[in-house]
Amino acid sequence: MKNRYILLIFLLFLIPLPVFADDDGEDAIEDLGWVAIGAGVIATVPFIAFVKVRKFAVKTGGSTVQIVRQMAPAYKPILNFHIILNSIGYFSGMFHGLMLSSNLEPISLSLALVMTVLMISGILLRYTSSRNAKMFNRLLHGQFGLVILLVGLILLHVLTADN
Amino acid sequence: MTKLSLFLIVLFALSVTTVPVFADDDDDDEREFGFGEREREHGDEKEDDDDDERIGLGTGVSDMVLYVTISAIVGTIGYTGYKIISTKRPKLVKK
Repeated sequence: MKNRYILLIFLLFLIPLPVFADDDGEDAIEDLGWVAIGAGVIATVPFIAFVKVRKFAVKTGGSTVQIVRQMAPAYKPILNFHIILNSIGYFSGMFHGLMLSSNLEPISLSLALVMTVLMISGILLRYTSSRNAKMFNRLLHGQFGLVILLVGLILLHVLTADN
Repeated sequence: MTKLSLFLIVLFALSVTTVPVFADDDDDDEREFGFGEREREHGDEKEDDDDDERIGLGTGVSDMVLYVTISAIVGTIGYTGYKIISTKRPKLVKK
């Protein structure tokens, strides 16, 4: 089971590689940005959906509690998938930004800042044992405003980057 | 997962995403322009093309986006801290 898990992690880290199949260096770096967006969407949408469905089922009560019990074992793998794929997306996005840093503009800088805040709060949420730090990072990481800001900045970045 | 395996995963992510970027073959460009000359001339050409269209730091609307983002981040962190402090503070009991 553990070997299968390690193999899955290894395969996930190979996701960004196809962008380098292109000979043109500039294009490859640009594609790295799309890898970051794709990884972010794939890692975040199912996780948020899972958490929302679980919360809804708990709130509703009655027979839906059975569904929550059935969903419980899937939480950890989905959380790990969310962490690993978002880490890949973050590093891809950051290297995309660093390689194209000569074209730095405020929207990209804002995007990098929001991504970093979410990444750091996510890491601290997962890997700190302090109760206060966990509570703080749980609230910060789950802020709806930050998610809206991130999506808006990604859209702005995609629309303005070609200019 | 141990700390060592986490560290290895992060290291692996870094190596996968960075190394192939430098694997790009620039030999043709170097032959064409020569060392030193290549970077200078190529850089000049690129700057001429991009200067008109790029939204640089210090321009109006996009600067506003940056300020709004920084304010939003600071505001969110402050709000989160306030929420935690306000829930931890014991409530005064009215006599």
